[in-house]
Amino acid sequence: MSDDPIRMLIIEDNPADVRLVSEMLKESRTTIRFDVAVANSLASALDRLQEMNFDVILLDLGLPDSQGLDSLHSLNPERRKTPIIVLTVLQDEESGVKAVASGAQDYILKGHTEGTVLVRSIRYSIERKHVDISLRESEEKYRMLVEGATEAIMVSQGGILRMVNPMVIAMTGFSDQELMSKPLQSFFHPDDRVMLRGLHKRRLRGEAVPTRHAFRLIAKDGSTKWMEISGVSTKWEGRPATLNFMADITDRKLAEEALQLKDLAISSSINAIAISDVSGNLIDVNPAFLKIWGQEDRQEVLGRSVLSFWKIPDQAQQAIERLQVHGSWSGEMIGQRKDGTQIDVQVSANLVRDSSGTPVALMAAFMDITERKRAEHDANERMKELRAFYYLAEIVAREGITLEEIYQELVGILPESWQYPEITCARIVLGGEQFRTKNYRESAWKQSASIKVNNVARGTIEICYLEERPEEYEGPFLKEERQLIDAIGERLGRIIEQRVAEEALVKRTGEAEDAKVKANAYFDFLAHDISNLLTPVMAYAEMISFDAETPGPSKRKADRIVGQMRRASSFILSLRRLQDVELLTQERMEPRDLGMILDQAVTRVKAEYEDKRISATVVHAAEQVGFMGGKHLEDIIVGILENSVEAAERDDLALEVKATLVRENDHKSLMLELTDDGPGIKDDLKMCFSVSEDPRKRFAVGTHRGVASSLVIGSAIVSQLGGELWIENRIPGDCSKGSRIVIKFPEEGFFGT
Amino acid sequence: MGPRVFVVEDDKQVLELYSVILKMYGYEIAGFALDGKEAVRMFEAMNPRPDIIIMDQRLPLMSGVEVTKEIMRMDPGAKVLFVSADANSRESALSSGATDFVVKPFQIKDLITRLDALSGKSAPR
Repeated sequence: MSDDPIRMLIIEDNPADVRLVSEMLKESRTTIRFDVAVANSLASALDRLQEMNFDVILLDLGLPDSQGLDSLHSLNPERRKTPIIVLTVLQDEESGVKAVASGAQDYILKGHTEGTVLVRSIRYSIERKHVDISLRESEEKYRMLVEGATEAIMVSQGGILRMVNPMVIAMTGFSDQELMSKPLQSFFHPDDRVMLRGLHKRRLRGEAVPTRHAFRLIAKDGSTKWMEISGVSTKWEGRPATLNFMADITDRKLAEEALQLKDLAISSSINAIAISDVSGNLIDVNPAFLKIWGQEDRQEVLGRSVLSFWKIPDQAQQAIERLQVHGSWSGEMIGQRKDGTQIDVQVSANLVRDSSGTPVALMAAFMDITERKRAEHDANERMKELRAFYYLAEIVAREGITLEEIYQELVGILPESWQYPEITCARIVLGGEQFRTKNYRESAWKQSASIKVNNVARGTIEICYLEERPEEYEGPFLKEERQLIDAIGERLGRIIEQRVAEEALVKRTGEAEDAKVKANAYFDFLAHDISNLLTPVMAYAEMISFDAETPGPSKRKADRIVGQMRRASSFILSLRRLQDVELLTQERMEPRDLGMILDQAVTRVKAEYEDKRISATVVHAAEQVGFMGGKHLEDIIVGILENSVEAAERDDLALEVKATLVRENDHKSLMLELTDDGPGIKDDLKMCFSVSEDPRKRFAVGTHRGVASSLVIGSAIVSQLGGELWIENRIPGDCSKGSRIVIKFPEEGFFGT
Repeated sequence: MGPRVFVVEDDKQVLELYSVILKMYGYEIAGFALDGKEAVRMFEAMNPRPDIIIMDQRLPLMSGVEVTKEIMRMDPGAKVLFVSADANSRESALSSGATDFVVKPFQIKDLITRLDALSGKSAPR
C-alpha cells in the first residue's frame, strides 16, 4: 500500500462521535495516516464530495437533514467509487446490515468497535470497493462486447442454449426464450444435424476438431441460412459447455456458389476463354482455349503475354489498345498454335472493370473458324472457277465466233477470277499470235499453263500480278488459281480440238456430198451412154440373127451377142434402180394392188423367156400393200425370177410366187416367197445375203462368185427399203433341189387390207 | 405407104439404126430432129402430123419430157413412144403424155410390137 494518507470524509453531526472515531484510529496505533474531513450534514457532505475525491466515507445514519438509509441512498453507493462505511449504534445493528445490502461496504457499531477493527474495515472496504469497481468495469466491458458483437455468440450446454447474444436473435429471428427452450438440434438444417452432433461429441471428448465449420440453420421465417461457427470448450455454471461464435455466411456462400457456377461455365465452355491482367498477361484460360491453341499444360500458358498467341503480335497489340479505349473489341485474327500451325480465330474481347470503374482485367472469347474460313475460301474460289467456265462456255457458244475472238474475250475475263483483279493482267500466246489484256506487262509474279491440243503444247496462258502480294501456294498465287489456270488451259485445248474437228467434219461432209453427187452424175452418164452405145450393137446382132441368109453358126453367135447385151442392159437397169432407191428416202407409201404386181411380174418373166416352158403359180393373201419404194417391188421380183431362169439352164422350170401377211407379237410383215425348182444355191453363198452383212461384202461376193447381179442388187434394194432378204432351200436340208428367196418387209413398210 | 414416124434422137448411130429398122418393118420416116427445140419446131411445121413420134429423153436444149409436153399441147392426140436409156424417166414420160415407154437397149421385136400397137397394124401381145 502506498504511503499516501487515506483521505476520509466523516459525515457526522455529533462532534463527540467524530472525536470517538479519532480516538479509535489513535488507539489502533496504526501507521496509516488519515487525512480526515468532517461534514455535519448530508448537504455539506455532498458539497465536499463535489470538491474532492475521498478514499473512504464514514456515514452516520442519523443526520439533521437526512435519516437512516435515505442518507446512504442519497450518496448513491452502488455507483460511487468511494466505499462507504455506515456508523450505527448497537440498538440499530439491523440498519447496518440493511445498509450493507444497499451498497455500503461495512458497518461499524459506535462504541462497541475496537480501533483496529475500524482500521481493518476501512482498508478492506477500500480494497473491496476497488475489486468491485474493476469487476463491474470488466463485466461492463464483457457485456458490451457480447451484446454489441457483430458476431452471434452463444453458450450451449447439454444440447441446449444457455446464453445467446442479440446477434443470435437477429440472425435467427427467434426470441431468446425460444432459443433457450428448444433443443439446439431443432434449429439445424436436417441435412447437417448428424455432422454437427458428431463434431460436438468429438469436441467434448477433447479430440481435435476443426475450429470453424459451416452449417445451415433454419430461421424462424423458414429460410435456410449458411452459418460459420467456431466453438471453444468452456464452463458454464461449473459444468462443461461450449462457447460458440457464429457468423452469417449466407451471402458469402451464395457468392461462392455463383462464382463456382461461373468457373464451371467458363471451364466447360466450347468457346475458348481467356482472362488476362490489364497489361495482357494471362491469368486464366479454359480447356477450350488450350485445345484450340494446341497447348497441353495450363501452367505453361498462364503468365504469358496474350500477344504471343498471334501470328502478327502488332495486330493483337492494336486490338488490346482499342479494347482499353473502347471497352470492347471483336474481330478476326490469325492465331499461332504451339506446333507452329495457324488457325483463323474470331475474337470477342472486353475490358473488365471493378465496381469503381477501374479496369482490372481483359477477357476474351475465341472461336476457331479455320474450317469455316477454309470453306468460305474454297466456295469463293469455286465460284470464281465456275464463273470463268461459265463465261468461257458463253463465249464459245456465240454464233459465228472465231477461235481468235474466243482467245481475246477469254483473256479479258481471266483477271476477274484471280485474287487481286485490279493488279492482274493476262495473255494467251498461241500459234505465233498474242492475245492480251490492255494492261499486260510481264512481271516477276507470273503464273502460266500450257494449252495442249491433242496432247501437243501449242501455246500458253499467262497471268501476271503487276504488284507484289503476300506469298501463297505458288508465289503470290493460290493453289486454286494454279488449278484454275491449268483447267482453263485444258479446256481451251479441248475447245480448239473440237473446233478443228468440227471444221474438218464440215469439210469432209461437204467432200462426201460432192463425191456422192459426182458419183451419181458419173454413174448416170455412164449408164445412159453405155445403154445408148449398146442399143445399135444389140439391134444389129439381132438383125444378123433374123437374116435368113445368115449361116447357122453365125446366127448362134449373133444370138450370143444379143443375150450378153440383154444381161448387160439388165445389169445397168438394176443398178439404176438401186441408185433410185438410195436417192429416194421419203417417197409416200402408196397402196398398190399386190395381186396385180405379182401377176405382172410373172407375165413379164414368161414373156421374156417365151421360148422356155415356165410354169408359175401366184398365191397372195393381201390385195393392197404400200411401202417405201413400192414401185420397185415388181422389178425386184422380175429380177429375182429372171435370175432363177438364167441359173436353171433348163427349159422347164416351175416357179411359185407367194405373198402372205405374217403376224408375230403384234408386228405385221409382208412375206414374199419366190421359189424355183432349179439347181439351188450353195449354203455358203446363201449366207452372203444376210442383211447384217456389210453391203460392200455382199457386192464383192456377188460379183466374184458368180451370183447373179439382180439377186445381189435386189437384196441391196430390199435392205435399203427396210426389209430383209434371205435364201432358203426349196426342200429343207437339200441345197441342190431349188431355192426359195424370202423377202420380208416390216409393218411400217406396207399396209395390208 | 406405112405409118409415118417422126424420130427425135441426138445419137446419130441410134438414129441410123431407127431408119434401118423402120424401113425393114414398113414404116416411113416423117423426119428426124437432133435436139429438143428443133423437134418442137419441126413438129409444129409438119403437115400432115406424123402417126407416131419416137422420143428420146436426153436431148440437147430441151428434154424429151418437155418436148412431149409441147407436142401434146399442139396435138393432144399425138402418139409418143418414149425410148430412153434412162429407165427412171418412165413415170415422168408417161405423165407428160407419152403413150408407151421402151428402155434402151431394146430388142427389135419389142420396139416393133409397140410401134405396131400404136399404129394399129396389129394388137399388142
